[in-house]
Amino acid sequence: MTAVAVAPDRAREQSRARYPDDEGYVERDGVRTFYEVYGEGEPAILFLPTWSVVHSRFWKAQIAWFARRQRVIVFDGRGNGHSDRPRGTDAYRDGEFVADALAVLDATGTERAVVVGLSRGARWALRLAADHADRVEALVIAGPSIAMTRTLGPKSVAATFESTGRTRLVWGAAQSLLRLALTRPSALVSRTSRLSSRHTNPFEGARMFNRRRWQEDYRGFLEWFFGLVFVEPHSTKQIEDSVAWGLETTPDVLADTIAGDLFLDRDTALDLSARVSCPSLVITGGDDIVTPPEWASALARAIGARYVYFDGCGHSVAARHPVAFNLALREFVDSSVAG
Amino acid sequence: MSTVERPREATRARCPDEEGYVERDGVRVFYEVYGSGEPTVILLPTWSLVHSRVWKAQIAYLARHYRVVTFDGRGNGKSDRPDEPSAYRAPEFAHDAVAVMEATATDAAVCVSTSAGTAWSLIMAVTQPERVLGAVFIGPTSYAVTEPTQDWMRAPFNERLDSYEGENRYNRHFIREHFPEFAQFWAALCIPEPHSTRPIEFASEMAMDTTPEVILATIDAVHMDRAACAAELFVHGGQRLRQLAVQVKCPTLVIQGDQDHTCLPEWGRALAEDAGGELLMMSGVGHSPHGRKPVRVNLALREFVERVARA
Repeated sequence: MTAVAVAPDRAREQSRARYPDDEGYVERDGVRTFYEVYGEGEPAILFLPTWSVVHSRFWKAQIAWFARRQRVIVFDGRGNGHSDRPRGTDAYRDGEFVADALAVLDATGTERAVVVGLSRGARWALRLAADHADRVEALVIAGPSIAMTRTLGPKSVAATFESTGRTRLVWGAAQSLLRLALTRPSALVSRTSRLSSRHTNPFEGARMFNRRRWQEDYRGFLEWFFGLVFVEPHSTKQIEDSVAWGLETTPDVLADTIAGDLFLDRDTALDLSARVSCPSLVITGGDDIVTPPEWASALARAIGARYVYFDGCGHSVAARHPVAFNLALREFVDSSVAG
Repeated sequence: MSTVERPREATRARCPDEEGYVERDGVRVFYEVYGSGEPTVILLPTWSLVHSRVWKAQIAYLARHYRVVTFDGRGNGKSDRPDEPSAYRAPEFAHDAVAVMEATATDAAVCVSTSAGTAWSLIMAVTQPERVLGAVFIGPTSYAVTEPTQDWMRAPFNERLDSYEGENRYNRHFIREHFPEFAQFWAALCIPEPHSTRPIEFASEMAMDTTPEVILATIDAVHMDRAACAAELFVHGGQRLRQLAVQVKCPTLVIQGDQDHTCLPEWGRALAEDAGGELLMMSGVGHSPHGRKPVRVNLALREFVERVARA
């Protein structure tokens, strides 16, 4: 960890359904993390951050509704929002986000909470449930960035992230396509592939997930990526919000966050899953082309979690179909956790 | 004349408690009733390019508190589609509304109208004042009391053009030959706010429930075949409506978007002044405040109905 940039003031939103009752910072190794607390009532729910391409406002369709009945805690993951933007890949390892989450629970006097993690946040939720079971009332995972099946993704994209030459880019993508054809040919003609061949195209993925590309056209990358997250029609607002949050950080900071590993590997996930003992729920969107439903279902089996599949939904059921997501989450909490 | 089955929507927040038809001069008009509170609120039709689902963001909310009656204007939805332009004159819609009120045993109601529905509502408020407890006008396009500056009203309506671009698409030949494109153009004109892809799609879908022939009949009801452009007729119609508005005795409210390209914002302001009512000017809002900003509009409707009911 070399330098820590202090977070700029967040642009004020036009309106908010609800404002926090309490807010503050925790600090670890000189890195400040901003948190908010809303409402009161048990069990508390901790909505974890996800990839630092966005900040805690990505839970905006959950916060006000859950806070009517219980305490809600959110925090900006390091690298975006009101939190600091440390440099260097070590600052963004899973352990750092897990430690930040524990520090926020301590600072807010929260002994135990229902822990909810989406996408990259699913990894931290899983680690909290496995390694800090005393703090986790129940585990909720949505669209996990956990490569449970052999499919397009982690290595192929990470391998070409630093590429500067077109030839290497194309070669890296061709290798991943070949590997896919050998290991999982059905994926090449799967429904989700057809749904958006432009986005699942490894050539496109390798071209967009590239440091030089981000430096040249960061907004272009964000628009492409969130078009992939929100495949549903009529998602212009969700895309606009997300791109604006993405612009609150920089391509260099974001590059630090993924240099480690884009997705958690299967063996680590199986080991963690075996140690989860709390009530668990895994949610997936049937049209998720960022983290395929097969990953979520395999993870649910490994944990022994309840599994909810939303037909016709993409990577962020929470943002794009909040009523369905919120009702499923509340029903799970009500039925599995004594209030 | 035919009745078309409306394709079923994916979901509805609330289904009607009662539905039926009234018939006048052989034309059947379909109505729905929701809820049982007091007073009754009648949501009037507008231009037959759309039907009563234009009120879908109001019905379920209002029905929690009041009895809500709505109906498909002749020419769309589950109502009949007469061929003759004369069947689409303003008094016909007003008489349909009264027939629906009688069929549903509604002695009096708060009338809510939008756009072309302004005329039917004003006719009811003046000719049958005992039936109208209060009147709400949203984006009153018919109330053209100043020179229209909107491009679509100045477009050559009857002339065949080499190409149809921008607001020149408000044209008889374009409507007849490119009806789906016309519907999309019109919906986008009415709903200029960002993030409106779904309301635009929905309005276009409702238009596909009727035909270009019906839509041209509704336009020719005001003798557009004899006019160069819509502006000529709207100015004339606006002056006649003004004579009605000054006679309105019941409480009134005008809800007007300041980005309305269909109805000039000053027309909404003029109607509020002429009728002696209130004006809610909504900033950044187009021609469909009820569709695009339903929470704000519903709260304003509720406040108005409460005030009328207490009086």
